Amino acid sequence: MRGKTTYRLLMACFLLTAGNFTPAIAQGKPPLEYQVKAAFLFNFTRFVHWPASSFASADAPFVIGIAGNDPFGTYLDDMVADEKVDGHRIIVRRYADGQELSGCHLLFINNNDPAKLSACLSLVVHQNVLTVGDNDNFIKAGGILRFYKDENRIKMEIRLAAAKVAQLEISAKLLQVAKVN
Amino acid sequence: MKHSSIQSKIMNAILLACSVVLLLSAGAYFVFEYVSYKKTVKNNVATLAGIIASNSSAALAFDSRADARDILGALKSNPHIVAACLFDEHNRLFVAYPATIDSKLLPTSPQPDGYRFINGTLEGYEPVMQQSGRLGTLYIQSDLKEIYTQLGRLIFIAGLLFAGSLTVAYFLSVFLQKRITKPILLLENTARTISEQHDYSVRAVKTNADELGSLTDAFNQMLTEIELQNQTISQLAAIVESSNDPIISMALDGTITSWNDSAERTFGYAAGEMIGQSILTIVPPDRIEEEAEILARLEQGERIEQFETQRLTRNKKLLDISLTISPLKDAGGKIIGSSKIARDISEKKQAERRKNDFIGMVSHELKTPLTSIRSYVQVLLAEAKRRGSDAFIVNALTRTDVQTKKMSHMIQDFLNLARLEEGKIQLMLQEFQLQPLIEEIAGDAQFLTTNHKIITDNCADVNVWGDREKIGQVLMNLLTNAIKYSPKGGDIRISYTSENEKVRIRVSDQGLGISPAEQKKLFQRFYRVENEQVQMVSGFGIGLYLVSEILRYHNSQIEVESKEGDGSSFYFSLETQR
Repeated sequence: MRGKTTYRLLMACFLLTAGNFTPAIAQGKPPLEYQVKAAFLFNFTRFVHWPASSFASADAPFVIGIAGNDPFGTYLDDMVADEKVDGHRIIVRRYADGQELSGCHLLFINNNDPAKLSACLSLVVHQNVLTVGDNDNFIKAGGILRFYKDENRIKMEIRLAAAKVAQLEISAKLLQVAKVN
Repeated sequence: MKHSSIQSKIMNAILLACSVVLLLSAGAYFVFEYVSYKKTVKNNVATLAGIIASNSSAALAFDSRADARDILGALKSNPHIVAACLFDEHNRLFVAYPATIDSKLLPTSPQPDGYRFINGTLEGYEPVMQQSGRLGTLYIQSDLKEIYTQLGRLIFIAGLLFAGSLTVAYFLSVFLQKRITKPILLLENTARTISEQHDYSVRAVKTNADELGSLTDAFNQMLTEIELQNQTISQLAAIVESSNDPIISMALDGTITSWNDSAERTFGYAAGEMIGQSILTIVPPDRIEEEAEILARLEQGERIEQFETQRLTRNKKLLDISLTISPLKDAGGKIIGSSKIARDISEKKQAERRKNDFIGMVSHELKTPLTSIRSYVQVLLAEAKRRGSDAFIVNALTRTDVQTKKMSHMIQDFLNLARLEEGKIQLMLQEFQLQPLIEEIAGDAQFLTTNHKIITDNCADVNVWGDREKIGQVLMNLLTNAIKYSPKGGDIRISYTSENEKVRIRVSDQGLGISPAEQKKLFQRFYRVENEQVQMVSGFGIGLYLVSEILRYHNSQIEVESKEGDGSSFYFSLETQR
């Protein structure tokens, strides 16, 4: 059953990313919006606590996963290259559509197709994964943290119930600067 | 309250000590408080900054200025925080507090972390961290009004304490100084009473057994000493006052310092008139040099005894006096003046003068008939020898001649004595050969005796300077003396030796000799040796006196060397040149 799900997700992600390929990625520097989002992604590692059981071993890496089309290019990789989360080095892993989504801690899902999004989210819902996305329906689809724009600024919306299911502790400070529901 | 000078001094000392101690402790406390206030303020600001920085982390991380403003807004609770701001991790100003602040008042970029007192404010930079990751910097600035308010309060309290303590110290010192000053004031009071009333029988009351007690004891002891000394002094003064002889003391410059009753009677001046005056008041003008000479001798520590001189009385009458003068020394042995005991010898002098006049007159009167007697005897003797008269007549006349010659010598001596005493003697100083004079006198003397042999040692011829006739008289007197005091006969020897422009003449006999006690008096006028053996020897006791007087006029003196029963030797020296 699991293999089937993974396959579907991977497929979905592949399809999702295929049409969203942008020239900026090739140049290595994403638009400002994604630079900010990349920084936010990294900052989440400081305000969210993952349970120790989410790491296979003490020296296992902290994995930031990108599902769907990668809007960051190498920008995110460069940013986290020398950083650590609780002693775990950080790596960025990109998941092709239908690929197994296991082993990541923070998953940025860049997919606007509601069906694929739901499929993707449902794959990680019981894992300790902080799911992040910028689709308007991301929260409704079962995601934990959504970026949205307000007066040209990047804001966050967090669904605490989803975080609880993922067994993630989100810092009150983060909650303070975000819209919580 | 009126205080004596020592009381004020002690009180001032106590108050000064208190003030210094208070000031020092207040100063130390002030510094300590200032430092600890600063530390407290720093800690408070740092704690506050820490909390704010921690709370700002998410706002910085997620670029939420509104939240950051809210968080910084919490600083309102501390009115001393005048400025604050957040810098993001790229050191760009993120949010400022208060929102209206002019950004010129804020630093353009964060300085190294930490807290510093600058320009009367406290500035601090606190890192904004989240899980060991640095998100930015919080700048915070606090005024120090809190410290100054606290210090002002402290100064006010210290001032109150200072005033209170000094007031207490003042009243305590009024009380405490009495314990020290009371015995001192008592002692001082006693001392003043004594110096004002000259009553040395007063004693100070001892109140403590401390150093002041010892001082009081010592003071009383000194008073006892002074009393005793005053007694001694008044006794001595009474002795001096009651003395029959004038006693005068004077300073080295001749200023009279004391003048006793007898001095008043003798010189006719009252003590009050003379003390402070110069001694020259009573010195006759022709004797002023004498006083300087006396002073010079005294300064060398010499004591002058029986110095015969003359002094003037108030009525300008000349008094013959004999002075005994001793130097007066201070405790260190330094001569500071002299004391003179004068004795009025004018009556004695008068009597002497009358006697000398008498002797002179008698001698003169006796000399005239004696000269003619002697001439007649000599004529008779020559005539008897020429006529070949019998031996008895020649012998009798020869003896008569010798005796008259002896007698004329005696009378000549008396005349000389009288002249000497009156100071009328005239020396005929000349250079003459000594040897012929000795031979001549020895020859004359040999006529006076048959059982003595007068030997003149043949010495090298030498010239001496003097009065030939007077020196002859000296030799004659020494020889007749030698004859007189050698009743058993024997040799009488005259000799002389010359050395260093001086000729030393010696006359020695083998006679009775003279005891050491007699030797001292030998040259006094009218002195005759008193013992049984010489009872029979005739004479007036003027021979050696004349000898010594004549020699004195020649700046020489007679010396004697003798042993009882073993003969005597007399010496004198004459100069070979003027």
